[in-house]
Amino acid sequence: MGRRIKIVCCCGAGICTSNYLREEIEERLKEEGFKNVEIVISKITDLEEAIVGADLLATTVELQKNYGLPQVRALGIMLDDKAAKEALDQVVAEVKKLED
Amino acid sequence: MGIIDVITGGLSVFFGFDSTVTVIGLILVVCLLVRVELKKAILSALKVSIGLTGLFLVVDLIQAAMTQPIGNIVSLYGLNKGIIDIGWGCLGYAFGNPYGYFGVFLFLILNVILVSIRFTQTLYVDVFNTWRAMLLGGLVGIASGSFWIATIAIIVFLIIDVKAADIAAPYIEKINNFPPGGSWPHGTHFSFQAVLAIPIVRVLRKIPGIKDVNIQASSIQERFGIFGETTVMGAILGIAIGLFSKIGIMPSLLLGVKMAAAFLLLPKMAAILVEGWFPVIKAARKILVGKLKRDDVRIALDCSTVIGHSAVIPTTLIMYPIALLLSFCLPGNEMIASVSLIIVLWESAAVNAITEGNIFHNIITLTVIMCLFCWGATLMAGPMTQLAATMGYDPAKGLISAWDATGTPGVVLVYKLFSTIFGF
Repeated sequence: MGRRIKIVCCCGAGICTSNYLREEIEERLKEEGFKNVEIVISKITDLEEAIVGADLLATTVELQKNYGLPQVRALGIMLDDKAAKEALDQVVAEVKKLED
Repeated sequence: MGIIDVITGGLSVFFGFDSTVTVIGLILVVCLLVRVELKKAILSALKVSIGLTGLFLVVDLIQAAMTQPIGNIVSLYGLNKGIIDIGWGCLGYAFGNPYGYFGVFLFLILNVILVSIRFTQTLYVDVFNTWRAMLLGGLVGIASGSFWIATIAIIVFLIIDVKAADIAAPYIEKINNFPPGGSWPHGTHFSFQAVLAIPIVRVLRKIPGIKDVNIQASSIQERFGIFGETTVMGAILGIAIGLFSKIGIMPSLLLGVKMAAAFLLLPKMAAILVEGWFPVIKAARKILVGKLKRDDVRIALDCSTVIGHSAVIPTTLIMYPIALLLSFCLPGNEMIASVSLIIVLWESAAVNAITEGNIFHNIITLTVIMCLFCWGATLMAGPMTQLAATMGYDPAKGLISAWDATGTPGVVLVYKLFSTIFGF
């Protein structure tokens, strides 16, 4: 299933929301059959170090800056199920793009 | 009242053990209740108690490191700053005391009813951030000795919390161009301060001279700068406090390292605790959100989702030194802020939503609000130390307190309300 993919989930404190994203993204990627995925969480202030070697950035905070890697505003995951599904679909689409 | 005594008796026996043990039992029961499979339930219960143990470790680290400097400051300068700032260490005392869980559980159910009768739009699914209500429950419970007074205090507190969230949500949504449907109560840690800011900002916009000054952070990247790094800030703060309290060069450097460690470890320990709570958070979410079909329900979210506005970071960087100096010079304040300083980031975001990105007004409004946090932490140091003493903290080591949760205006308000009514 291709090389190892590293995803960074970022939020304000790196305690609660990013943790939540990781849990939901991990679950969904398992369902989609992606085995080789590493997901780390990071605080917005530690983003510079966290994205080293990362392939995808999932954030709840609106980031004006481009960090030179694909970025998904995965906010919907925190809202209702419909918005969550949309956000997760976006993440899966990005991961598929990275695969091939 | 026989049954009630049996329940409270049973609960207190169950909670009589060390908090890190009782929490394992509690999380296991709650996980199984919400149909989490056994393996995950055990893992979660262990993670929560590991997070708790980690938090208490960091509290002991700070307490040990700060005893001598604080002693010197009091003796050398005659500044009465005897209270030790334990910051998010109080999270452990929120989860570890037996008074908090039942009140929060009752409120989550009541909340669904309150939303369906349109008393409030905010629906609490963000179970983790109710820990501030749990801390209030512990503070009131230990001081009043009554399980029921603590439970009622929690419910009153969370009602104030969601009502403030209803008022602040439109402002927050607008400035962050957030999709509709969000609300940010966060245990009066966020929206409550935004509501406090509304009158202050209205006054600022009338004062000639001040009202025309509008500093917007037009284009600013997320570069925090080396001083924004919390660990570096912790090191600088530790060294500064060490030198100021004349404990010597090497001990000051050591204090800098220990303070930097505390700045980094506290959020990491809290993250472990949150991980343990996940099955409960997700299950509560699915059960609660499923119940309501109405579209104007606002789902309670962690306020870390709304700190991205460009004015928040500059405001925070300017406010860190101001808040620290405030904790030194403010008359009536007896706690030098250290690990509590972290929360300035979220309070800046809350106030920023009201001033619509005006950094100058942010600074003035925040200085007023941070005074409330300082006085709150000082006022609540007694009850906080009393509560911590029931969970293994030796009060002889000194009074402890913090800005986030112990000194949070909403917590202090409800505690004082209940202590005057019930006389404790």
